[in-house]
Amino acid sequence: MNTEPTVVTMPSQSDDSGTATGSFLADSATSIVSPLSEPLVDVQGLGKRYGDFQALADCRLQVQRGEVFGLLGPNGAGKTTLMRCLLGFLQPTSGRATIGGYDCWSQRTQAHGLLSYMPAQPQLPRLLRARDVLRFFADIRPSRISVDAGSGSAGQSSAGQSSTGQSSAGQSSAGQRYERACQLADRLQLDLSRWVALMSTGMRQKLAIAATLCADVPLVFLDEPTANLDPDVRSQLLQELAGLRAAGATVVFSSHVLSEIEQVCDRVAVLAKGRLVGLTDMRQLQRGSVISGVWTAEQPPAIAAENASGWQWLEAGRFKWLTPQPLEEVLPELLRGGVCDLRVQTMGLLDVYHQHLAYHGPASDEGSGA
Amino acid sequence: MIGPLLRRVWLETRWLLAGCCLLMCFFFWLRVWLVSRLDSGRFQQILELLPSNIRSMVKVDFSFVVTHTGRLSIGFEEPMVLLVLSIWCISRGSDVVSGELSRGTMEMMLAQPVSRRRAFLVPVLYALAGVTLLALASQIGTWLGIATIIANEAYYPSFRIPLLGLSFPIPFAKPVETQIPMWQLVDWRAFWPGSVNLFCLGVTLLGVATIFSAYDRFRWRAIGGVTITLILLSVLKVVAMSHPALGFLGWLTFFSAFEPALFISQTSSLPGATWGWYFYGPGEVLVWTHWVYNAILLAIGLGLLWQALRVFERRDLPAPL
Repeated sequence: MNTEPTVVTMPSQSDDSGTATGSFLADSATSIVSPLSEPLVDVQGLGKRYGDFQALADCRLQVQRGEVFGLLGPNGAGKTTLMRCLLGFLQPTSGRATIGGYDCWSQRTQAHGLLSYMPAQPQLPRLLRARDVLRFFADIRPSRISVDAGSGSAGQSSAGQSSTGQSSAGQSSAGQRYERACQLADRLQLDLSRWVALMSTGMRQKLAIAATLCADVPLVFLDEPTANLDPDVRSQLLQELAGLRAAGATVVFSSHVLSEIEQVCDRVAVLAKGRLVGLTDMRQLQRGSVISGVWTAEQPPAIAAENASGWQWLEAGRFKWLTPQPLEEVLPELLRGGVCDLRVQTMGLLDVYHQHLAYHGPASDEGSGA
Repeated sequence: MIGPLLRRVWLETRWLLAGCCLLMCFFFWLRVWLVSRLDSGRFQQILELLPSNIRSMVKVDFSFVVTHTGRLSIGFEEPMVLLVLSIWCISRGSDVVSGELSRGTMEMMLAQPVSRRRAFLVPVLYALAGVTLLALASQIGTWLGIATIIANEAYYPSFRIPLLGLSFPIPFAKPVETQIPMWQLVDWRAFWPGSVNLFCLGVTLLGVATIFSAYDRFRWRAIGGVTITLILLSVLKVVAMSHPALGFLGWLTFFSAFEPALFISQTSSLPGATWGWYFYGPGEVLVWTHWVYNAILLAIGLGLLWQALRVFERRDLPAPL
């Protein structure tokens, strides 16, 4: 296996031809140094069309091992479609996606050996008791996944990846998984003797969390996992996620709650109208600033043209600029150009989110193909 | 990985399976009890009152129908039996794909390292085992009834001419009531062709329900589609039997291959009909045995199940609404 550090450039948005362009935050370089040679999740030009409706178009992203990756976007943006394509529930109409080298559609069973998933509204067998549900999810995984389980492409492209994934996947026995699920259920204050049919929505969500997290897999998909949870359990779940990250697991996390995303994610992808419109590195986001003010000079500043994707003109010469650059580099230039009423704030995910959507709105309209 | 799937489907459906089996068993026991209450002579009188167009729809010879074996064999065609079988097959078949999809329980299950083929085949094989149990329950119920029930038989006194060996009933004499154990009147082993035919019909019903389920995402719609289809096919059979000119319609419905009473009568009276594929009836007419009809039902049922599996393996799984 190639262990040389490689530079992986993350396309933060795509133009209509599907070519990766620069980051929305043009100067917030999305090139990160990956400690491993290949990503765990690799999405290449993935698209899903229902008749005339393009639910997902030309999505390209990579999720590295050990990172917590957030999916953000308004309702109907394509987050769940992307996740369902990755899970092999939907057949992509274009492009392909792999998990640990396994094709998400044609080799989905092998890919599922590397992952665990909790849907947005988890439904569990209602005619079972909670403990039977946990027993089912603990027993359903093989104790050890065969190294040869993957077919050709997995073996060719990332045999090392696959074996790496498998080395941490499914090592525990069913008994250990059940034990772990029971412990987690206990921490979530769940009564395992209750019938699922008699549980509240929140309790079922807790049960689903225990069933999902009991599997020791390298990749966990969570689709809005904190919906229906009370604040205590929510924070407990976020702690569990932190524990997963500490253990080296990769988490793909979808949520509408920005504070949670900010709290747990390393990188965030923003989707709108079926397109990936932005990709933000949370470490760089924390170093970034939101600068606003009123431009008094007649000529627009050169800096605005250079940073078109982060620069937003508001009314009457007022502007807003999201920049990851150090303030000591940019403020003098702005002040020289004639800015008044200058305000500087720490950049938040909400700023980036709005900016991504505002910047990419027209393009996504064209690309929706509806 | 089959064990957990099997255990889950067992825990979810054990009461339905037990209920259907008990109901089936009880019904066949009840059928024996009812037959034991009505002696053959009175039953023959009832049959003779039937209109000729109704009598023409009965494929079994009337001389067989008036016997205890004949009357018990008709029990396999009773609506109650078909209802219990349909409840099991439609409920299980519709649940395999559309039921799991509409409830949303398929998502987390299929996110496990379980192939769709396995997730499909385990509940289908379980449902087939249930159909087998229902067919066995029909045999067990019949056997229980025959072994435990004592029949009331009425004999009309007759006088016999010694040298000629002829007997004549005495007019106006009161019938003599006697009690005879059913096992002396009926051999319970005669009914196995009926149970086999019932099993094969169950496989077909399961196939129809499963194919609707495989294409749909809503269970209620799959059940509706299956029910309407089965009603139409039943009506088609009745229409085909009602007039010889409409007999060709019988080829359009698989219910034409469900004739347990006929098969029981054939195997009871013609040893050649028991194991062969065909035999020659009166006038050297070639007659297919129950094996051919059962094979047709099995082929339809298994073919539909195979197609349902192919559909399920290739289809998108939409998010539950």
